[in-house]
Amino acid sequence: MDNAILFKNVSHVYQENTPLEFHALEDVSLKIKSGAFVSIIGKTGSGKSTLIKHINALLKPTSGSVTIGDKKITSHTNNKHLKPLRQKIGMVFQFPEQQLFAETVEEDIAFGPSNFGVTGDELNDTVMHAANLVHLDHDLLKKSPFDLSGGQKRRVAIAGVLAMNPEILVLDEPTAGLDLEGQQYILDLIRRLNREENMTIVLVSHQMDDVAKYSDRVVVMSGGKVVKKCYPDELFTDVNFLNKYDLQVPETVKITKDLADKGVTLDKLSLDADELINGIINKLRNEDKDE
Amino acid sequence: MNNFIFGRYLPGNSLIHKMNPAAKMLIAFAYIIMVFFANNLITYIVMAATVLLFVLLSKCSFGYFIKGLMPMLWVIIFTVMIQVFFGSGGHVYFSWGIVKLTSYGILNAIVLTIRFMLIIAMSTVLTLTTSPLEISQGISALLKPLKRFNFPVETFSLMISISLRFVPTLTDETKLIMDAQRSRGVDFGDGGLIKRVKAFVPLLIPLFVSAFKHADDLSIAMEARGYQTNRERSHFHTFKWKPNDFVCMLLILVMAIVIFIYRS
Repeated sequence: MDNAILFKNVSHVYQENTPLEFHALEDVSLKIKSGAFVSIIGKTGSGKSTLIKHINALLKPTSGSVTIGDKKITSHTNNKHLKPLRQKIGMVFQFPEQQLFAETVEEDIAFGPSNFGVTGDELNDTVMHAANLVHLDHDLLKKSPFDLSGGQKRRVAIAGVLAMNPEILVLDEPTAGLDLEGQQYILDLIRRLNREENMTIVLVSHQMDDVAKYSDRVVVMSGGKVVKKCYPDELFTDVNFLNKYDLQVPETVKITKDLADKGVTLDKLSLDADELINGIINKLRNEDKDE
Repeated sequence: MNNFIFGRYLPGNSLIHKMNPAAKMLIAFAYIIMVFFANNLITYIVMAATVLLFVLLSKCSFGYFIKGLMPMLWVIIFTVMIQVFFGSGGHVYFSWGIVKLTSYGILNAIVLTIRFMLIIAMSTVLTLTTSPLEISQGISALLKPLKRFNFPVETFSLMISISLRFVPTLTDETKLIMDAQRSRGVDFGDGGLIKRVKAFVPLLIPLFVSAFKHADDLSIAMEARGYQTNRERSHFHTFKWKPNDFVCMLLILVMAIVIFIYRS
């Protein structure tokens, strides 16, 4: 698979040459393959948000370069002609329901694609497709987005991004402030988009359970630097590392460890709750047989 | 927007920083009025020397004052151009239709530039050394006498401090929503006038919605903490009048007297 996103020695400085100068990113190099599900984790202020804003050139690197597909962005890149790039990348910011503005849900979802020149029947189809992806009731399409519930609003906002038909979907804490059901819903949606629509997913999250369960790769950031790039099981078994960077230990890992302390070692570490349950059941069955 | 130094607070520990905000505002206000009384070389030199003294005392580097001028540069250039080309009186150097280049016009332009620079420099001293919170407390201290005439001073000063308090919040939200809509293909500042105005609808509506929501939340939070209108509130930081304040105000008074003596 080819690279969807390539960061090469990217640094970003806010308000350079003032006393308020702030180095948000320092020498970040990163490769994200197309079709991957990558999670970016780290404390607040570690540079995650700055990093993802480079993916669709909302921010440009102070030094270094970002390559998306065949488009290379450096500090000299002109702000014009960024539209094709922005169309390829769907950005779901924190609390994306804040960006809703149109009179009806339908119009709001259509806003993105129509900005990229989609019209007529094609626009209609696109809106319907996006609404279906997030399982939005068709009755809601004619309603005002401000009359919906929190979870519905968020789905509408995400549909508005998906309607652009992006190749890469970047999400900044998409589940923040939702109830458990809403969270599950959004995460399953993201997994579906990754597996069925083959979208590259970049997820920023503080929920280690979700990161452990869903992602193929994890990038850990601290103080504007990438401190670790690895597979989730590699990261979450290293409890010392997690503690060092104030990262939660996922429940599945905790349970596995508690069991091991009590003398029950499972065959392998499962980061998914269902898998873990199956692992424990198998273990119990085998022990029954042994006796 | 990041380069917009004019109106930004720089924390510091200088003599000017420590002054009573009410005194600073009085001084800045008096100074700005005096700028319009100055009308010859000596008086302008006195004015410039005074502001220079305040700049030095504030210990803020000159770069900030230069940067503070930048956003106003176009306003200055525009007004100067109008003065230069449409001013009348005095010796006419050049004339074409209504456009005239006259000695008075040029003189007026120079005077205007100097006045602009002096006013901006002085107000930059004020805004660089006074935090928004201090400014609102300064305003409320200065308005206190109006209480006699049933003017709701407490409410008014709270209003000011709330508005100032929410400027950064709303700025951040504006940036966030702009980023979100940019990601959905909006080009702010591109295309014709109508297209540009239209581009602001997806920015302004969410911003209004969130401003109302903030107002709602804030009023509930204030009520929950027992806020009542027009009751005397105590402040965590209180400002006393210190010798420094009187010295600086005396300085401005002396400057004013000198200007009234030497103005022609």
